[in-house]
Amino acid sequence: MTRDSRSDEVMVPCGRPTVAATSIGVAALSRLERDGVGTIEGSYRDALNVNFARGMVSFVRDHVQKGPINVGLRLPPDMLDMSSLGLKAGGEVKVRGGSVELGGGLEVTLAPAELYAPDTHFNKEIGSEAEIADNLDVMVRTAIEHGNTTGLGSLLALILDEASSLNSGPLNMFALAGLRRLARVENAYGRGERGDIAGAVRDCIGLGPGLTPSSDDALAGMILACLLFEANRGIENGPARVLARAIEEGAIGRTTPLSQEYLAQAARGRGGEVAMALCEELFTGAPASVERETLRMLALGESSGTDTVVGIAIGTMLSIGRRTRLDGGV
Amino acid sequence: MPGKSSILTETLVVVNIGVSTFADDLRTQNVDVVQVDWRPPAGGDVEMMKLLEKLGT
Amino acid sequence: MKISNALSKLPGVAQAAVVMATELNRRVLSEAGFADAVIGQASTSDMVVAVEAADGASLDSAFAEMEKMLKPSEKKPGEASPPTSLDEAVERRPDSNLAFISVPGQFAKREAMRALSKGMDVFLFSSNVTREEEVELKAVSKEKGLLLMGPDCGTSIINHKVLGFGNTIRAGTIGIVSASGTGLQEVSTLVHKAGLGITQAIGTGGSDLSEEVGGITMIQGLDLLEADAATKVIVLISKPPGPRTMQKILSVAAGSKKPVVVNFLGGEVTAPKGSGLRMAGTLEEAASIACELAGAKHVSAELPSEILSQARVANERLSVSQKYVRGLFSGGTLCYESQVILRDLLGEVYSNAPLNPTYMVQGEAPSKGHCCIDMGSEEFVEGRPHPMIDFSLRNIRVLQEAKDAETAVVLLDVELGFGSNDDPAGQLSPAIGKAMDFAKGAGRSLTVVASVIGTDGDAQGLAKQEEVLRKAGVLILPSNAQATRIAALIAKGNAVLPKMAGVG
Repeated sequence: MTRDSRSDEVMVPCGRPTVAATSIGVAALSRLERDGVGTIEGSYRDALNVNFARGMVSFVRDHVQKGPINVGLRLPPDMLDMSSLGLKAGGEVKVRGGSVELGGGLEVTLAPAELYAPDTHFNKEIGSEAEIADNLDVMVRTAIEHGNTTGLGSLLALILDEASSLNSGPLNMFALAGLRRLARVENAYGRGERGDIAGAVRDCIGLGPGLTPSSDDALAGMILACLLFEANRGIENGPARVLARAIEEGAIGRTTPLSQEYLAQAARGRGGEVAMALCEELFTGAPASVERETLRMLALGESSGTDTVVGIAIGTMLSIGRRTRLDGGV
Repeated sequence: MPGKSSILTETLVVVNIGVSTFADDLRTQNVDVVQVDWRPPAGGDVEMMKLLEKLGT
Repeated sequence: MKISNALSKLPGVAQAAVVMATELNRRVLSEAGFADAVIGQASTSDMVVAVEAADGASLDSAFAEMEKMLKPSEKKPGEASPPTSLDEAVERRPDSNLAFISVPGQFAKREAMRALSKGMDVFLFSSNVTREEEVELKAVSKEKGLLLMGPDCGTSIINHKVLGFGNTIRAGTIGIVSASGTGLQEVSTLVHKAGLGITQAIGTGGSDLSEEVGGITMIQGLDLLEADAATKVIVLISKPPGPRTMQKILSVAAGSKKPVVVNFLGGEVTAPKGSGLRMAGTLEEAASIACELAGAKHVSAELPSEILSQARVANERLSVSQKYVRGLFSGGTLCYESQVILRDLLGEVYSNAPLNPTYMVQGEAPSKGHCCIDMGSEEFVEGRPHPMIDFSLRNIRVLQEAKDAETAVVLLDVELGFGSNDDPAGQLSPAIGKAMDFAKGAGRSLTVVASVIGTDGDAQGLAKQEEVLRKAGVLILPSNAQATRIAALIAKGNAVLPKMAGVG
């Protein structure tokens, strides 16, 4: 099958290339609204993280999922990735009149960007507990089969309440350490005591591999699931808000700045596009869509996707009033 | 490297040599891709290329 | 961080972890016995690489490996030039494991050989690679235990990622090895439509099963699926192979402990006695046998009665001159499958890629008799985008068939997924509308029948595409085989029925 190549857009770099942002998260937007200067926190292959006065913004290649602090960019063809901008931590980034000077000669215009402002309200009604439990089963099994176990993935088999033949592999040192810590968070959540919850969460921050450590991804998943469940069931003053506050406060100083940001956003019910879609399918969708979104989630990062699924699973169990087997089995 | 292909059990990391839209489609699926800005060897002269190959370059 | 994966695979390394030095991680590492002093000095923005190895030598080589992976690329800051060769690319990403090659055919072997020499598997999309070169390449890939998918391989789905053309298919337990791209697409989407899913779909390239090549990649694919715990059923797809190669493939397949379904389209193949192999006559049958073997309830291939009535009515409305089925395909294997089915129901079929060489026609010539044209073949595609992307030629052809008084029914395949047009239905509908209006104006009733090869996971969306086509008056069937049978029914009427599978 011979094929003609589609004509590639060739940008001849001359002067300062301007790049249009394709998407902008709601928190990123508020952080870039006013003119000012930011400091580069870290430069990575897929992202450039910059601290502004009102918080961090993550400039990412546009194949990265949309997120509340993300600004998606379509890079010119001669630019391999974000790290090829040659920027380093401590460098300056200027915002002026809706444009961002990223340095490395690249200027970003924000105006064309599509706003990513995830809605906590689902399009359909939440299913019954039995339906959610079925979807949860699909999500956990899919994650066991296709997920990554360098973080907390090996805890997956302990989350569902039947002692089934599920086996998610041997526990690495982080999963071992995470096991009792997550169990403690679960128990505290069940009792609803603010002090207990805060203490349990503090002890669970910053554990495991990744720029967003595994336990942070799990907590983010957990709180998203709990908040979205409560928001869509019309539950006010539920335990999710207590957990959210504990997570936002507990993260300060105990983990990487990026992870702190993600946890703060999750604590407000704002997740990345994939996490929001997965939660929505889990609570309102059919098993096939749950599987599809789970696979999308698992593809994120190294173990980030799997670790987030661990958290979503625990949060879902808590929301439908069930206990996991993290606490030494039932 | 003896033994079976390992890509079925590993995360794909792709080097795309040729049409760049294939790389775009892979990135849409969150696959790591390095796009090679390929140029024909020996200035596109196939005979010359074959000679160079024979010489082991 | 892929560093931890690469390090933990080194000989003598018990475990490797790459973590940020948060307070909790520092504590866990200390408790696990890693060097206290170093960790004590690290702060949250530092990255720690912790390696547990059997002896000093293994530890040293692990750290050497790590240095290599962390070495920044040679680019100067602000200067970002993409690699201009495979070698450069691999220097930047030493963990690269697959080369996707779509350079012009005369240069393809060289790139593929280089990739194999670096221990990478290869997806070779390029065509116009000589048979000789293919044999050379596959001798090397076989020896190294690497997969060479191609040449002329348009489709694979590896670890649920689509390479080249292809659809988003649910994960499941069925593994596919296919020498045909659109065959792979049809079977995988039918599996998905049945509610099941796949593990891997390995393309072998169109000439893997020739006598010279001997099915090297298909056999490797078979072995891999045999060893893959998640795969419970294996499906093999190809046009009829060379006789020696066929025997080889069948005997390897017969040795499998898993059930194997074989579809050597149109070939007169019987399974070796006692082999346990299941032979399928069509892609549709291959998918449904595989699904049953994977645990799905038996679904009868019965055509829905409203479609049957619509077809009969369409047949009754034909004017006297209208006699023939005119198939216009973007998928070569589907063109082939339709010919196999139509030959059985209607008699010989003309084609630019015919089953029977006597019935060869030039692709660009007007259709003759019952006719199936592969619009993805050389004469159409030279210097233009493939018909899955560019519908202009096919649209023109649809109108031409409508203007031909002998056309009773037009048969189409519509592929969705990666590599295909963003909106195939939207591309086709206006032309179909015009065609049907023209026929009506000329006092003829023209039916257009199509199958959509896709899923709702594809960007184009199966349901939406089918809806748009239905609104344009197209009769939609869930598989190419069923669409073909209905087309035959429309053209020939009830005379066809006794021979037709799936009519109750």
